[in-house]
Amino acid sequence: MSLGTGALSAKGGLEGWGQTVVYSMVFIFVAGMVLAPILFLFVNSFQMAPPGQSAKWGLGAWNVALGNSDIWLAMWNSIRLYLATSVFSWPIAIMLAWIIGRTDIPGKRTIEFLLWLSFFLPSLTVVMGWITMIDPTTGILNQMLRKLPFIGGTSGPLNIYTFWGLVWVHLGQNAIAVKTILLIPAFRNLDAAMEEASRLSGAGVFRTLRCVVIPLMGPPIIITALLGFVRLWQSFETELVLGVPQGFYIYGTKLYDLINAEVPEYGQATVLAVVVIGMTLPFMVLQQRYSVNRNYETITGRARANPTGLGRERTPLFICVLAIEILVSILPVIAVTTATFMKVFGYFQIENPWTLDHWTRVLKDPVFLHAIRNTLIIGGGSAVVGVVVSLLVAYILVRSKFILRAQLDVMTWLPHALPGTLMGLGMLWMVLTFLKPLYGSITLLVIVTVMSGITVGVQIIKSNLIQLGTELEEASRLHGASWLYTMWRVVIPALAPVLILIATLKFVSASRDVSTVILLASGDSMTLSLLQLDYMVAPYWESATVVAVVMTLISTGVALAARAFDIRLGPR
Amino acid sequence: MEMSQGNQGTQSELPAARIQGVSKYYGSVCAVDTVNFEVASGELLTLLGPSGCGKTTIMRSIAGLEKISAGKIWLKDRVVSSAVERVHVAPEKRDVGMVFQSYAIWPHMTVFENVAYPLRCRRVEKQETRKRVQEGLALVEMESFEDRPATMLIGVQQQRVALARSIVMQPSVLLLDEPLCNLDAKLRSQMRVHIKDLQRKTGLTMIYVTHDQVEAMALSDRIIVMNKGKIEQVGAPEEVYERPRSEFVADFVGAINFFPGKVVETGARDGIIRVSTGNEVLACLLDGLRSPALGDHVLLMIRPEKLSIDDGTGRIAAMLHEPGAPLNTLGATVSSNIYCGDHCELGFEGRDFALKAVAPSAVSPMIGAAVRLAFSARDLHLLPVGAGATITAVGS
Repeated sequence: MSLGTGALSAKGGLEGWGQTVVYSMVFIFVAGMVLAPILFLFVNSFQMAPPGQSAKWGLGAWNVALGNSDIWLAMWNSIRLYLATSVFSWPIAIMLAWIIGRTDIPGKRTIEFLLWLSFFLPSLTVVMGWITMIDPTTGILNQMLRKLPFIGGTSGPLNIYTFWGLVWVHLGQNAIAVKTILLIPAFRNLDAAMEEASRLSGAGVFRTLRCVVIPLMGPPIIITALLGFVRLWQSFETELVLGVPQGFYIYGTKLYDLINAEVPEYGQATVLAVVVIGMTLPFMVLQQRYSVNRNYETITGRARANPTGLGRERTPLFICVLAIEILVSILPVIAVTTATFMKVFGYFQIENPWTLDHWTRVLKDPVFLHAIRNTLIIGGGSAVVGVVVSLLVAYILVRSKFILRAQLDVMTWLPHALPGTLMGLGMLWMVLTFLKPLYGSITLLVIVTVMSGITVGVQIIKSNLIQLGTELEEASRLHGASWLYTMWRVVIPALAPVLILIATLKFVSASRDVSTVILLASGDSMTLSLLQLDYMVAPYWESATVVAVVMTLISTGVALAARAFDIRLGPR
Repeated sequence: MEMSQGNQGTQSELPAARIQGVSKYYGSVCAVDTVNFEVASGELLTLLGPSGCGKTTIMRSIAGLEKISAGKIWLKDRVVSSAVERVHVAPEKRDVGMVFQSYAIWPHMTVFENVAYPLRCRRVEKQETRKRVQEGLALVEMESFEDRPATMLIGVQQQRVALARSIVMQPSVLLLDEPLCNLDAKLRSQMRVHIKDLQRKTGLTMIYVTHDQVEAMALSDRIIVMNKGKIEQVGAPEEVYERPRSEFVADFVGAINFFPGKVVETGARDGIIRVSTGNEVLACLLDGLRSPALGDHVLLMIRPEKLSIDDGTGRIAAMLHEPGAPLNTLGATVSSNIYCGDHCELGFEGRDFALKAVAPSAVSPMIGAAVRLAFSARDLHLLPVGAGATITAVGS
């Protein structure tokens, strides 16, 4: 490749200097926000002074960390928690995706809507919902169960503060919902003739599912599994609330624990971070490969949307699905909402147990009002910046001949595999080293939430850009429009529904994020989810439930608004 | 309704399938409107029509992949679908084979596994399965591909495997849903011969869906021409082509010239009537189905290949002349001449109407030349001008 006009662009032609400059700026921004923190982590794992103090180099941190059996135990806990959750979530997710994507089950829209709702529920809300129900002493469900003659006692029988309690809560949070949502399109796009041919060969509905549909869904299932697997280190706030009190640490909470100790163990935390980056990279590469070499063979343009008739099983299955969904997403919200109106949570027997005090107290609290403002700014900022960055990156990856686009692609995959706490830690090192004024600012939180979720946005826009084809843009250019004008008048309008979807996802994930921002926020940039955690630790349990309900309202409200807007924009 | 017999079927035998008063609605849209027909055992019946005419819906209803809104479907003596009695036998219990337009070859299985699938569903024992799969693959000339993964097959091979898969279980009816439409022209004509061959060898009853009239002509014992959810005509291929009973059939099956006319003379000997088109009067031999009255407005039809260019020597006239069918001649000018290799397509303008014709490429008149066109009264057909006819009659 020779250097000449448009040095960094190989094609020349439609790509001029202006674009190359834009592309390079995007590249530098992404590299600065993704690669730099990781590099800081790596370099600093060899230095033994805390961030911001004069450096002292050595392998000390490595020796201590590798000899610390607690660290290894925490990592093993992450893995077994992930495996236990997967054993239950996969069969359920595959069945749900099949039922929604391919059968004539009644109330499909309701089922899918509830699924999305559970996807948008803040994880801490679900955690609190289940605590209100199955806390060993105060849990409503436990109180009711104890009334049964053969149980009795003063605590139990169910206990959320256990390994299986954690598994249960994870199933209710996103373990099932995300897999199902990712699998539904694949199930939907399957050529119905594949199933019909099996039926006409003499196989029944469930034999067809087992012998034809699920094997054909192999590639999307593997992709979804890898997608989930690289995120096994991500888990954080659920274990912070439910695991730490019982002395059960996973990777994320251990990392946080090391930094949050009386004498912060930055060295060990950094080593722990570097180890996980090393372990995750191969899977990340594998997943990227798989997603790129996707097999589209079973997806034909002529596919009919002809649902499989469930016959007599139709109604029982519908009730079953609805029950699962209500259990995982509606029930916790009801429980937590009830809790906000109770004088002392869990004590129904006292005279007049209901009150509005918690709401009036929290809504008057200046800290709460400040946190709500911060959360909206971070959510909104992350949505806007996130869409712009994702669009630019995806455009570069799909359309340009920018010579560093392969590297850019890898960089946008990295945050997907990096646990939020780790991103936060890397960013913390970087900021404390040479961007000190940014420390504790809302700008920093916007940047870090944008980058931590960049992968999904870029991937979604990428696939839509590929489908869009180049003719629309080429036609615009040939009719005299500039690149910028083409972007504005052709590309962005064509992608509008997708961009709205991404903005929604970014808003919701940024506004409820805990793991990424927890190390970077200060009192001044406190968000609602962090305030909620503070209340829970304090313990102002009732105030925390109010925050949980407010956060749920914000998340689901934005999701509903986006949905309405999306529908108005018509079919994709 | 006239019903001609299939080649192999005999009148006494139970039909392989009977479709009675079948309708299918999607919401308020009527895809199939009260359709009746029977398929004789061993017959190859084609449902022919433009896309959206309901032919695929009927086939899918026979397979049990669609629930019918009204009517009844029998396979042999068994009612498999009945709207009134709320009967809907599941597709897997109908013993019907189907070749899909997209072939629907399962990519996660080998060729052998694909073909063996129906037998495994029926718990046929291993030895027997192997034998029957091999026989099936031999019938479609794919025996050497047994262990090949299905993804390693090209289109026409997938097509053959799909055929093998649908015949190994010896279904009572084999349904073929536009199986050739994804192949190029040459392969298509090869596969036509192959399917016809296969039907002769196996004696299977086949229902074939296509929008390609050439395919329908070449393959079928009988053709059902459909339009807008209704049956337009049922008959043997030559019947449908030579004696179309509606403007739609005439137009859809092959090329044709239409022009309006008015009956000016009836009751002549041998079923000959005379029709005026304004300036010309043409003789038309009635086919026995209709007897228009004097003064009726009619639609006249003639196939392009039935028109001859009279070179004035009388040779053509002699060639076309047959007892009982007078010859019509018209003066016309050549308006277009398109060379197509083995033939040329000619356009003519007469005093009353424009006509298209085909001629051997050796006959290649100049554009603008004045010629005479000749055709037998037997080849000129007429339809009453009624609802659906779009041409306004002259002289009104």
